Amino acid sequence: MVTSEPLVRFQGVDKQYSGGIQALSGVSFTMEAGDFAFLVGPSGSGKSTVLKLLLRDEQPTSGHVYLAGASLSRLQRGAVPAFRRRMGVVFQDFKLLPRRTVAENVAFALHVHGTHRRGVVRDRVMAVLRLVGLSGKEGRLPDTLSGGEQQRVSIARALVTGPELLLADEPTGNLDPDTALGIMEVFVRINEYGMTVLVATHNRELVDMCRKRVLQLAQGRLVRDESLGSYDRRPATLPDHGPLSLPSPQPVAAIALEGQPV
Amino acid sequence: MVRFVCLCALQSLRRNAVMSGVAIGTTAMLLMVLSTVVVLVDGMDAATAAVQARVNVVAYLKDGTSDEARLALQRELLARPEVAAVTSVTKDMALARLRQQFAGHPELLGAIEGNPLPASLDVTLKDPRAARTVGAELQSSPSVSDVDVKQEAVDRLIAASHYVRLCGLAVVAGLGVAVVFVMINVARVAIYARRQEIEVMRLVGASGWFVRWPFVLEGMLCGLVAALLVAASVASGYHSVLGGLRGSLAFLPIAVDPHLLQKLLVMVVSFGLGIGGGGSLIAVHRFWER
Repeated sequence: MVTSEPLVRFQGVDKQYSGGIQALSGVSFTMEAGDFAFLVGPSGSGKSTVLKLLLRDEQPTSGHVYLAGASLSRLQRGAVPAFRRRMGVVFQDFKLLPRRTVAENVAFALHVHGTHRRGVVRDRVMAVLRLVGLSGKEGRLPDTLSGGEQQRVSIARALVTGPELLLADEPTGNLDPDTALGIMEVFVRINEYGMTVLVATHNRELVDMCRKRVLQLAQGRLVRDESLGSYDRRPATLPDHGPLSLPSPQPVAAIALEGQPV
Repeated sequence: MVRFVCLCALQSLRRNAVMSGVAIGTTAMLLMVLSTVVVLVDGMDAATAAVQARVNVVAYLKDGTSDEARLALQRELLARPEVAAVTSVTKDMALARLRQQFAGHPELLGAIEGNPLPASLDVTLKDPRAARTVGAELQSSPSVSDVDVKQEAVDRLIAASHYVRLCGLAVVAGLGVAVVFVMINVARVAIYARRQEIEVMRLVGASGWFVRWPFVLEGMLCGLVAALLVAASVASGYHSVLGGLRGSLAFLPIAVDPHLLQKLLVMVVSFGLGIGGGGSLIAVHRFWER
């Protein structure tokens, strides 16, 4: 669908939880279809809140969130499930069903979306498992897989329904650095196929290594919106407020050479 | 989707076999009590109707009453607008009737010496409510030694039927509330056991009914199994119990509705499905709305 509207638009979004906790303050950014962006910041900076707002798990206290031009605030409660089917979500803890095989876990999303014909389900599941590099493991149970493989299953489940937007909340949080890199390569490959991807993470080294757009949150405010490296498709849409008073990120390879822990 | 929902329901039943067994057992108990109340009330209603349709007043004639006096009294009664029929029963006819009624109990018949039974006029009324009036007037007739107004028996039957109906409904209602709570808690256990699955369903965009249907179906299946168990018990026990009652209480007109079993089956299955499905729906609705 050709549209002049960005796929994702946050417009002056504030979010205050009960107890006066200000999770987000005046956050505004957009994402075009096909973009890849990292949402970075320390714990408590508001990354998960951004994803919850996009999933319509929460509503902004003020401001607006749009998906493909449609305001999420105006969405009726009964329409939320249909809206969520337009997105794929990946979590830090994988959220796989332990008594179902890899293929059944992936197919589960298709059943929820109303696809039940065996042939169609089988073909789509196998195709997406090939994409994430899990061919041959469709009959395994999740607890027989490594952490990285489980996360690939989670990604496959998020992709199998053909969503417009892929959200990932700390997808490498439980993984070792090499496995984390492998998972990030999957995300990059998916994005190369045209999927819009938003990854919330506090793994700065991985972010800098991937050289994608970075949206940095600090205490609920968007303090940096920066395109990095050759994968950049769009110029930065917001002025660079400059990094916070944190050590400058160094490439992973450089840290390894200096003998510093990764 | 139907196949998927059914599979989810059956898998959940298997995984929570113990709780499902509890649900089935308590529902079966409720349905058995309900069936017993229905059979009792139906039988009492049928007995009441049968007694009402039969002789309403019996006027026992004094020994030595002449045929002319008996016929005059009979004509007098037939002339009354509320009287439908009058049957004259001689002493011999009364004895023959008694022998027929207790044909299966020779030890009782052997105790009778001679013919102690009086002749009588059996009066059938168009409106059973006139029984007391007619009875009172017959009592004053010089040919009548005693009057038996069956309406008193009917009144007692009606009162007893009303009492059984009220008590039965109270017990069924109380048990019903308890069973619904059991079903709700069984559904909550099933929901808890599948909370991971439900969370994933929610996040990938499952609608509320996609989540609810397997639990509702699971509850309905529990209710249906309970209903079928009760229906089988009632069907197998009904005729044998009825035959036993008729033999022991030959003097009572125990009438049977030929369609009672079918009605009972439909009622039991409907209640089972309703209680099972309803309890699960309440539990999963409260969970989803949270």
